[in-house]
Amino acid sequence: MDIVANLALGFGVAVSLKNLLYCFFGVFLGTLIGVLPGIGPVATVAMLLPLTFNLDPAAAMIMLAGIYYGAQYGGSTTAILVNIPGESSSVITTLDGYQMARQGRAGPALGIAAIGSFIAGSVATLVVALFSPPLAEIALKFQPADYFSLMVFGLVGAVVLARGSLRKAIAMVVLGLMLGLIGTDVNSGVMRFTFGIPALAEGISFVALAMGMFGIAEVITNLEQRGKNREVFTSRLGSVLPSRDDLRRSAWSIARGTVLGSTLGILPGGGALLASFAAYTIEKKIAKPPRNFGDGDIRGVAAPESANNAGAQTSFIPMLTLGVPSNPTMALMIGALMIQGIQPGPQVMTQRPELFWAIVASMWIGNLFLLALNLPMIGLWVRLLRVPYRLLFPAILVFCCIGVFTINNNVSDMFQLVVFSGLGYLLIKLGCEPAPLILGLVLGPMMEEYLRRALLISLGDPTVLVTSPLSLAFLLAAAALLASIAVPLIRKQREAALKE
Amino acid sequence: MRFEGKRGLSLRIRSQSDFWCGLLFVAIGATVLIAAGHYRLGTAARMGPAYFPTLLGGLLVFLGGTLTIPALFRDGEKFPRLHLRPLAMVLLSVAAFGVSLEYLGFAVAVAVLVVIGSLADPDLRPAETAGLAIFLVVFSIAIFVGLLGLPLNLWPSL
Repeated sequence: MDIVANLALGFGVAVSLKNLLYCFFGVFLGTLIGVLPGIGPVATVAMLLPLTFNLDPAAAMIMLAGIYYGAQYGGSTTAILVNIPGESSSVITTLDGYQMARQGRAGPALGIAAIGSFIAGSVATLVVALFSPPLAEIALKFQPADYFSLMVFGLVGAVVLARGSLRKAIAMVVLGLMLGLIGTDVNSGVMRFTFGIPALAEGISFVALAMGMFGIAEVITNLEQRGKNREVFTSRLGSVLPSRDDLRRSAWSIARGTVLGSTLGILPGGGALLASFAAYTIEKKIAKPPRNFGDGDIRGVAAPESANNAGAQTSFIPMLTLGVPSNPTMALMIGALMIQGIQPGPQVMTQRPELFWAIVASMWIGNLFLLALNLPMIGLWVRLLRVPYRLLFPAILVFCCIGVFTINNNVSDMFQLVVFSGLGYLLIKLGCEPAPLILGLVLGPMMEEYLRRALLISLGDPTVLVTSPLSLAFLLAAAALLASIAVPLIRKQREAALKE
Repeated sequence: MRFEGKRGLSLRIRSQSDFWCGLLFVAIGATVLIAAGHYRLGTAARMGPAYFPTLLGGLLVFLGGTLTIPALFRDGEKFPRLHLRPLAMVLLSVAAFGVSLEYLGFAVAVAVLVVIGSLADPDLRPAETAGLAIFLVVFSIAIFVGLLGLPLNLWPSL
């Protein structure tokens, strides 16, 4: 079996004392930062990215994967204990998780989240190992037109899943694509849209934009809501280990969440968010007896938490095999790989098999650490959540700023950070979600390049986008996605599901 | 609310949030279209540097229009209340961090960031902020310079 040999290769690289240590610190720091209210995985990964600069590529990716899972779990902890989701994929966990905490069952809620995440993560890692090689093989046959349409599909996916107005989400994607074009045009060497600012010749700093919109804009919004008091349910944590009855009742929820999450995570724009919402909705429909969902049913924590972890895992598939990010965190991972001098895409698996399989192996190791680390350490996170926000937010600002500055050691990045924080705040206030914009930013230059190549080959005939079967399939899928939310019934459900 | 049947030509903005949001997109799209005029457009087979931006700029103007124009006829959300103090202080603190980093070194820059940033919170406690600033300066030097060895100028270079 190939897969056994491949996984053995991966574990061989990942299981060195050094890499295990990086994985451990990644999970630890990721959880530490992710627990901070209002800080989700995107801001956490961006903040901690500089830690990995001096590492070799395998160690860097292993640490980043650890940070990602840690941040994800940290967000769930905050969702359960404080009713503030660290990011959109743990929004649904607040429904039953916070109710459980109010009933003094915060311990089992956190425990089942960790156990469910571990099971889901293990299965999803296997899915990644099984499906990546064939997908990468197909991807090697992609023509420029196919890539262009795949990206259109991915962006449409991100738009459909954004909360709020569809038109605003599409506009955000287009705005992101345009921001991505700032800088030197690779083909003509012309400096585009730099407005005479030399620092923009290299383009916009992706980390400055992500940190501004996901980190600092979030701090500003949190500061305005100071009037609303947040209650931290930490007095009675209870035993972290769920009772036997809890486990028996959640087993099927975890299984369903895992399957759903692994599947939906592969979709572009999908990943953890869609997975957790879908898992909760389905659980509510089919769980027997249909207990009090919304009143602290443990299955309402188990299913979405398993699903979002499985989705987080399988969202690596498009990134690793196609070089196309399916969510902002994956866009950051691509950035991290490029800093290491690796161009993500289907060729990574053939040219750097040890790196590829080490990443896959580290996914499972990261999940193991998550379980082993977080069950005993929950007390520490709880203590951190008791620190008042007026002391936390200056610290968050410091980490955000250091994170952005150390990417390029360039002061001009700090001014980009100021601009994007302000723009991000304004856009969030106007009901525009930043996630589609960030995906657009990363895909902008790639899309232009693939469109240019596709049209060059076809001698300017745009029908090449529909005559290639793969490209046509992607475009049809994108159209179907868009059409599906135009149908009133489905639109209503989308609105209901995406409403907090 | 229903009783507004025959008001003829009154151009009241019914949905301020959508209206201004759309206008923002139209303005950005139009800027891009105008700026793209300085570059070569090329043809489809040989796309110039202006080709893709022009497509996108046009699309953004159109999308902005689909937000702004219906906002005149359909009721929607008001313009959100912007809280200026946290916004101004946080942005100022980040900018001040950048400037101080260049001239005064990392240690001072972190202190400046914490002090100005803390002004964003009306619930300010000077002694606490001073303590926090000292703690964060020491902590970040220990982590980022001591442990990680990032190349940062700690003190003023002059």
